[in-house]
Amino acid sequence: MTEPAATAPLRDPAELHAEFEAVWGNPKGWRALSVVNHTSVAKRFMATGVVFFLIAGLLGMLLRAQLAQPGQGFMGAAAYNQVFTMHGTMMMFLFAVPIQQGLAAYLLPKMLGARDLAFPRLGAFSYWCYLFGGIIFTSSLLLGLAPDAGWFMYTPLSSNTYSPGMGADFWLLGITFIEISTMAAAIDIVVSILRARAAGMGLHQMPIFAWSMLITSLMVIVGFPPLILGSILLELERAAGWAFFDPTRGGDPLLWQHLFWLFAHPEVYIIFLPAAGVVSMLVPVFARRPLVGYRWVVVSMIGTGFISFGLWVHHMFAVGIPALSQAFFAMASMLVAIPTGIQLFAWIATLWAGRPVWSVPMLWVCGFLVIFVAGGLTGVMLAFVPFNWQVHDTHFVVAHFHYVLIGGMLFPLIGGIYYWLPHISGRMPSERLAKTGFWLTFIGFNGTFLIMHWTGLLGMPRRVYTYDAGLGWDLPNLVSSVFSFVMAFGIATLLLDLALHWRYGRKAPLNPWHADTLEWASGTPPLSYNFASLPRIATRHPLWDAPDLPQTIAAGQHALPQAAHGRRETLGVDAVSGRVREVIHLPGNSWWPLVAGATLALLCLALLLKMYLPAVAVALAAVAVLLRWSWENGAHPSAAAGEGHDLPQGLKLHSRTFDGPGLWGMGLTMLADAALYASLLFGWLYLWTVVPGGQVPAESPLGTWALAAVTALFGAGLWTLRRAVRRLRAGSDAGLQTHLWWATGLGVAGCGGLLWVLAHAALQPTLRAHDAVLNFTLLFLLLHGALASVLAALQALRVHRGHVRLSAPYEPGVVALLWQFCTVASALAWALMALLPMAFGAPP
Amino acid sequence: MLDPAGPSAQAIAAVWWWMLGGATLVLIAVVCVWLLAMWRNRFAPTLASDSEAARNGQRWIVGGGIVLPVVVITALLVFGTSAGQHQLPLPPAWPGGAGPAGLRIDVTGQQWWWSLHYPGSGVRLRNELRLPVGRPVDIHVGSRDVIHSFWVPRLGGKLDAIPGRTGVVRLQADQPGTFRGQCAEFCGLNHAHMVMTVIAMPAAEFDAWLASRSATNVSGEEND
Amino acid sequence: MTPRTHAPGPGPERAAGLAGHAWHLALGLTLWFVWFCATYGGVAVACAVAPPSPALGPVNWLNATVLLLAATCTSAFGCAAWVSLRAARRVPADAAGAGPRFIARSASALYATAALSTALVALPAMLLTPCT
Repeated sequence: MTEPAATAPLRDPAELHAEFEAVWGNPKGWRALSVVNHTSVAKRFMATGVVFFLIAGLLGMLLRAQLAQPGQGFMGAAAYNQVFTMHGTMMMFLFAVPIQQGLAAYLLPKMLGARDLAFPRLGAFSYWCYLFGGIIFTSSLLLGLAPDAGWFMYTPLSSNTYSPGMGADFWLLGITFIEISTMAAAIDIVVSILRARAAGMGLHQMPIFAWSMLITSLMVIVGFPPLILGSILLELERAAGWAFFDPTRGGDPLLWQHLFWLFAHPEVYIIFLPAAGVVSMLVPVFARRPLVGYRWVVVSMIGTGFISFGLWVHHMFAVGIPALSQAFFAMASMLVAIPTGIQLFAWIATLWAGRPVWSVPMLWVCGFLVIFVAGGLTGVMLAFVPFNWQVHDTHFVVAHFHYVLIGGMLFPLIGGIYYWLPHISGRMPSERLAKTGFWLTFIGFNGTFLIMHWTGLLGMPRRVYTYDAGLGWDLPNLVSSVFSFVMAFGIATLLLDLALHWRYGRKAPLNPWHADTLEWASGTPPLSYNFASLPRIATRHPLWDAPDLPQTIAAGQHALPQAAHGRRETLGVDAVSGRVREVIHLPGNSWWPLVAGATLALLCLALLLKMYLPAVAVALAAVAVLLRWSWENGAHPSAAAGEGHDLPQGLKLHSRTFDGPGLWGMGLTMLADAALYASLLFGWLYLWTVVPGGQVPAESPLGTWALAAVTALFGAGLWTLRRAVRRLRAGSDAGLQTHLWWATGLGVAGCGGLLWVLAHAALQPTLRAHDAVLNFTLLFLLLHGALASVLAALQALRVHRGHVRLSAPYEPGVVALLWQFCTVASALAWALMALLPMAFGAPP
Repeated sequence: MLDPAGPSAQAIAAVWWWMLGGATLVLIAVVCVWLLAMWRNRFAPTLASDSEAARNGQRWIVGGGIVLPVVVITALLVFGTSAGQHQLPLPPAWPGGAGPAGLRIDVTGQQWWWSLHYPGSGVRLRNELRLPVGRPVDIHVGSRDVIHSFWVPRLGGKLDAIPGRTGVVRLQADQPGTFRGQCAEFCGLNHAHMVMTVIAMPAAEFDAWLASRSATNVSGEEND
Repeated sequence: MTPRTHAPGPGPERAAGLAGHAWHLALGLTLWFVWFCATYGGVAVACAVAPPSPALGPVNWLNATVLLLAATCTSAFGCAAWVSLRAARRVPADAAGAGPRFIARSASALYATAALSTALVALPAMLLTPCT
């Protein structure tokens, strides 16, 4: 239904290429800052990730230099504490996740047979937030103001009392800014994987890397919000004195730990799963046969993703939580080894049944095997509670997590970089330099970290800037430090290889590894538009089953083989089956991502410098920029040239239908929002019931019915919006504007209700954690209600301007999702914060 | 913790050695299998058919990915679980209780020293813990400021000192001697120096010391 | 042009019925997570508000509730795994059925994972005293 008939005239590939370059080509010079094309943005992500990796790596070297001998004066305690905090934080937030998102952004559209990701401008915005946030955060080092409370920032150490100064604020504000980047990229990736694939490519035929990025990105969407919430609460405590984590005011330091680890345990699987996906891509190619146990691997990754959310307390085994409760987490922590084991043996089975060849990428995969399995085994040991009580917070744990992170993420990543390097640059690296680099890194790594297990068993705690001589720790530390330099030489060799290959590497053939997946058909280096025509895919191994695919694609023999209409477009498919549903039109280059990123950076700085009044102004400006950006969407002329009448029979542009990427993007954003809100409600229930000495008044200051009224108002607005959409589906846009203005009014009334509650509740957030949580919830609801009202009003304006109409009915349904969230959130606040406490009367 | 001087540390150390042995075996086995898989078919003329590969693969996956971890984990849990009971402060009548209630010692961490108090006799110490050999002591751990962690590796596992809460860990020394205790939760600038000396004295000697100490009621320096 | 629908389309998806829907891939373990939080949270609240006497050891109303809930959920997940597997078997073994079969079989495996995870995580409630 989507392909031109087999008798379509053959196009001259050169002519076709020129036509596409005119629409998709990247401008040079300073205009390159407005580029939104996924290949360019992804390369920026990866390059920036490498830079942050090197900086964080150098910090690690400083740590090892200090610990080489007991009682060294190389770094004092203050400097050391900043350095280890920054080393960990930068590696986790500025390297491990962004670089893999960059690799995904680069590869996925090509692997899935699409021309771009679903939200090109969002991807570009995500990069700018990452760059600006990373610069702001890293600059704290240069100013000597770096955070120094450890990468997990436990309270009360990270609160105002014990960490005065800007360090902790750099962490809380800077990292939250970067998390916006990570979340945006994750939403982009999920929607792209589910809705922007090749025609006919079902979920069961996607490359495993696509599955791993789908699962990982969904984990990001649900797993990052608890930390975002925790960071906002802690920053409020530091800046405004609101009590959340202060035990003297009804708060609890453990609340921070729960919120942090709820995020941070899934985070390590967020870091591992993409790398496992890379291994699943490389092993079949070098075994020269398809992956054995495709379904096992997919199920295992999904299982790992979910179960990883049930492990978080294993970082808190020494806190004093009762044995039975700890046991639940211990069991789950051991259980999660099973899906990982399944993937491992699927790879072994594939190699066993194939005809493996050695290559530089496979060298790194083998290194991954040795190191990661060792790390996984020490992980199972750590899950055993009594042993954990001894080695928790010692160098044993430091050794363990470096084994799983470097072995499980860095080694596959480097293997993947070597594998796809000919794709990115069009040239092959040097075999000799590459192998030298591998062995130096492998030997250096093991020399550094293997003996570190022993150091921890000898009793050396973590995060100590020095140690006494004569405890038996001297030699192991010296060995670790010496070998860390070997590893550094290894990394330097790799960098040298990368740098030199750009100039001296021999030109790569079209598919140097004889791989099976589609990205090798997008050109090496890739074309700006990936594919001149979009093939129908019915197999997991497109290039093995149809080796002439690159030629037929370039000759325009498949779907959407023209760009003369001036539009950037790709196919929109059904999420599960891959049946074509619509044509997704994509935005071209735009300055809005850069402007929005810069405005948010300004906001971050204003908050850092405690210039709160200017910060309010900048925040409003940021909202204005984002809304103005969103205006150029859908049926707005700058979003898509033409009405799509030139499309094949039966296909429409997505904004002329009721479904499209934006609907899914909004849905996923609401999922993230729900995760944040759920964490807030968890915090409420936790402080109320479990905290020793928790103070809860007998009568709710929120009143019995106020929140019910707010819920009703938001609910009425939702109903009005839904009614408008129903009428659009039935074929009528009469009264559309009226409906939207009514919804706006109802939303404003709901916000008014919330303001009334805030005014009358007489909450004292700086005196009581209970009041702080209520106050925060009301502000949260107010913010969402205001946004919902503004979006409804904007929709009304767009109807007035003709951007939303019967033939372009897409957007009201998207906005309705936000209204749904507001209604449910208000209802939950009413039930849990107003009614429930009154049902229980006075606290126990 | 590899030179245990008490029942808790002893039990945990034993489990450690078994875990090390098991883990080493598994690691060597997996690496060998992987390398064998890499090498054996390099020059094979024909490959296994898809269905054969799938069946073999199923065996590898189920055997190695499911059965192996389940067996290892079950063994660990069955043989190792009792190791944790030693430092839980359960009264003797309760199931799992490891013995009579111990002498109570209150340990309070603060930046960056340990304050110890023997409530029964009013003795106060600074950065020093004394306990009798062969008798359990119940350490009540708390904090005055940030989170610290009380840890004497040769006697047993650690317990975090969290402001607003008190946790209890039961320790026992089975031989006399001087041991080292160190704060095990990052607590700021001088975390590396927050060390405590633990002295285990033969029971009679300890009773004598406690009695004489409480009579003179010397308190440690309160300023830091 | 393609109707926006959540119901399975004609052909192989209809053979699998509602059980073949892709939501099942996420439903099992999502519900497992809800069970997990309810169990952990419930035990924490019960210990704060009305802890059973420690002299009873693992034989008390709290552990019994945990185990009962776990047994119920394990059975439910097990049933769901079985239903998904049967749905997969109903799908014709041709190329068009590959997708729905994959979904149904994967869903079955994930429900089985949820069942196993529930049972194993709840196991300590048979042996350990709560709240201490």
